[in-house]
Amino acid sequence: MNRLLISLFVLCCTTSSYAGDTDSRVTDILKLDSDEAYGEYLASECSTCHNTSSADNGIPIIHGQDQQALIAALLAYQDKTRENETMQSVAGALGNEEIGALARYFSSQK
Amino acid sequence: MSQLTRRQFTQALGLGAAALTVPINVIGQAKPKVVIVGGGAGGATAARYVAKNSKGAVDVTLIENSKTYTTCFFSNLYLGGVRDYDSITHSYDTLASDYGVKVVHGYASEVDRNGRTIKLQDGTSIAYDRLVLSPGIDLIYDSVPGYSEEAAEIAPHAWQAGPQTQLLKTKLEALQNGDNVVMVAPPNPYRCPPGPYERVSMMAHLFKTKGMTDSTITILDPKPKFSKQGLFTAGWEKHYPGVIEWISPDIHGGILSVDVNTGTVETDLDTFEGTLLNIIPKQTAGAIAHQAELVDDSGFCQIVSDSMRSVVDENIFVIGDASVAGAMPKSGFSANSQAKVAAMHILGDVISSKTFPAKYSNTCWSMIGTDDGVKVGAQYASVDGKIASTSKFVSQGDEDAMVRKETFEESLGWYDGMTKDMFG
Ligand SMILES: Cc1cc2nc3c(=O)[nH]c(=O)nc-3n(C[C@H](O)[C@H](O)[C@H](O)COP(=O)(O)OP(=O)(O)OC[C@H]3O[C@@H](n4cnc5c(N)ncnc54)[C@H](O)[C@@H]3O)c2cc1C
Ligand code: HEC
Repeated sequence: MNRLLISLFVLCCTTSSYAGDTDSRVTDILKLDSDEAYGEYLASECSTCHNTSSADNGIPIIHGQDQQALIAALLAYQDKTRENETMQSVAGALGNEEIGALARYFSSQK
Repeated sequence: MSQLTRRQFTQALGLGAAALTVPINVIGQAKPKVVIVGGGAGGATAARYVAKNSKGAVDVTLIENSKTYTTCFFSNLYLGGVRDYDSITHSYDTLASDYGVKVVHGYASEVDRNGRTIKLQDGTSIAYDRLVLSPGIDLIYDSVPGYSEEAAEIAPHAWQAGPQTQLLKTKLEALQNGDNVVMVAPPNPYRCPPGPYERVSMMAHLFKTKGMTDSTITILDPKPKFSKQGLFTAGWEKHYPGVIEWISPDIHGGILSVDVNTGTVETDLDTFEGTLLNIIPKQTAGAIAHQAELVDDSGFCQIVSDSMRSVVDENIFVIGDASVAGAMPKSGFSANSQAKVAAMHILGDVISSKTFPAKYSNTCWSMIGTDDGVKVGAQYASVDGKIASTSKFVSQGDEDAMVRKETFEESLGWYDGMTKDMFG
């Protein structure tokens, strides 16, 4: 991972509402190696709801989103600081390795 | 299986498969053949994922009886006048043109498990290395005495989408203010646990929009309780007070018979009369699963919980409504989720792709009224040989209107994502 990006992220997030330990989890997850095939398999669960043209239909597009933002969002659903029962349940079933693989996969999509 | 790690189990399965079928993916030989019966929620997804993830290394054939697929999901919204018929009907063209799936329109009548071939009604024979069955349900018409396939032309079930759905819509639209509907709900297990209750909500919604203030709907239920009962009951009270009456078996005492010509349903308690009857009988796995002898006493097919492989035949995967998938309800979302696990294992078998521990999920949304959506869902994993839920959620009774509106909007996004995930 690009060091500059990480430090930028740490900078920006100290001023945001993320809990402190979430920041360090994001950084930890970014450091994990992730298997591309695993990311692709896990992502197939998400595609039932998130597709690439779901503009304006109640479910945001996550393809091509920033890797750190994806990790932070999944962690926020996981610790229930972000509302939405569906996403809380989805994220609740993910470990660090899964979150890392998913964020890498979706950030690399268009 | 609990003594083995997942990796060991996967390896053991891989070895077993290789020993059985003698290398499918030997260089220079024909491509491995994967055949899927049923192009619905499970089958279309399986076809698309096997084709997409094998990148041309596998020959994929989808056998589907109909030229187009009308989704049961959102068919209640069509009945309620919220969606039109075209918007719930999909073509197989993109699966063929963009994913290279061979789409064969015909009825699969026979599986020869020893010869690994499948026969169509027109006599065509198709060989497979791995077979996916996703035939959905068949209806056991005479589980409601007096009901039959012919009677369904007068009193539609509309539990398989297509002409039946259109027939029910026509009959609903023809009702006059003061005419009544009687629904006979199905016994467990059946496809879409909240489906009958969403349907009466949408019927009541239609009456409301047409100013049919004197029409009522009676549900005669063989079950003492139903999915999202508290949410539905509160929603009916709020949007359609006095319109919908649900009658449990402790009250009606049992559904004895129906006469579609007189529009009557006889129960232990009383005879109920409706201008329109909607009879939803007991269900079983699609006929082809019975013919292949993959069905147990429940009328559905047992599967291995971390792969969706039939417990009877390791070359066959059974997904969707036809399977017994532990804690997962019979839903389109479940079928789609199971298809991805099956596709992964099929590619593991035939081209040695990597496999990972199975994850499953489901959410069922229901529309109760305008901008009033509710949902129930769960995550699942294979635990001690069964598909078990690892977390679940359900909409709250005291949610504010904004949350209900968002939930309804989510369901629109899901429908869009789901049908793209099936058909490309
Ligand atoms: C009113 C209603 C509302 C619903 N709402 C929802 C919802 O909101 N969300 C949700 O997730 N689920 C919903 N469902 C459930 C969902 O429709 C089913 O669970 C889902 O379709 C099951 O998928 P499947 O692949 O098992 O079967 P199906 O989708 O029924 O597909 C089976 C296909 O196989 C074909 N076929 C069968 N046998 C053969 C054969 N021998 N040869 C060739 N072709 C064959 C059929 O023509 C059919 O196209 C609803 C169901 C109903 C009835
Ligand atoms: C059942 C449908 C469904 C599934 C499956 C699903 N999501 Fe979501 N997702 C949603 C909805 C709805 C939202 C919007 C929630 C909100 O309002 O915060 C959302 C939001 C998100 C967001 C925040 C996006 C943003 O722009 O704010 C991320 C990230 C996300 N999902 C990732 C995933 C991943 C990764 C998966 C697969 C592991 C997944 N989702 C599976 C429905 C789903």
